[in-house]
Amino acid sequence: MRNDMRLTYPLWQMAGILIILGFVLLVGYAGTVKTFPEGGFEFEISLSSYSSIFILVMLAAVFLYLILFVFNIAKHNKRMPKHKISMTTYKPQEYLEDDELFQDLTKQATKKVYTYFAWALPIMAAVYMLLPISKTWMIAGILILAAGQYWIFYWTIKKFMSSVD
Amino acid sequence: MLNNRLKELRARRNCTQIELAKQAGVTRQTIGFIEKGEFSPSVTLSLKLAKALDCDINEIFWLEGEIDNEE
Repeated sequence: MRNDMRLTYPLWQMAGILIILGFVLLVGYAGTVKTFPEGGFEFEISLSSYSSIFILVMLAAVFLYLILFVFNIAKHNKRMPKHKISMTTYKPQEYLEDDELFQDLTKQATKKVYTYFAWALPIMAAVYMLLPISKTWMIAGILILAAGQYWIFYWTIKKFMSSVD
Repeated sequence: MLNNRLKELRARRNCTQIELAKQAGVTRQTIGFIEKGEFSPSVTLSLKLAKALDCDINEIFWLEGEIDNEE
């Protein structure tokens, strides 16, 4: 179970979100969107030397992430054919439903995530209403919130697994 | 709270956690957590465990205070 990628899957999701966050900040700070009164829009990205380096780093991160992600999924599926990770299923891959103990654990973790969203979403909505936050940082906030749910799920499962054996 | 003597009954039959888990169709971790009293199994799993250990379900599980009350 220790080498089960389903346990670390939320961390992969978080890494994916962080990469998206990088692109959001890049577009937010280096890009400009012009909308025309007659319809349509134009997107322009002006690259300074810093943002050029940043975009190269981000593209390298995407490339590396995809290679490692696909490689690890293939390794996991070969090692655990009964608990394959499939990109075509609706159900989140991090759910552990091997038996009733793990179903209970998954239920506990998802309950924590639900509680987190029940508090975090209204707080975030209030912050967005009260403070003058740019569109870029609003999207960044949503992404950070999404990353938080994966961290809660991962931490709950990890804490439990450390008590096993 | 549900108490149990799963570990004792399993040891009496020289059965490992892995073997019992296989017979009951669960993971070894589940057997370990039931034995430690950290997880209460469903009725279905309790019956499966009783069947695997060839004993009555009441021999394995009882509610806290139940034995004291009977005495």
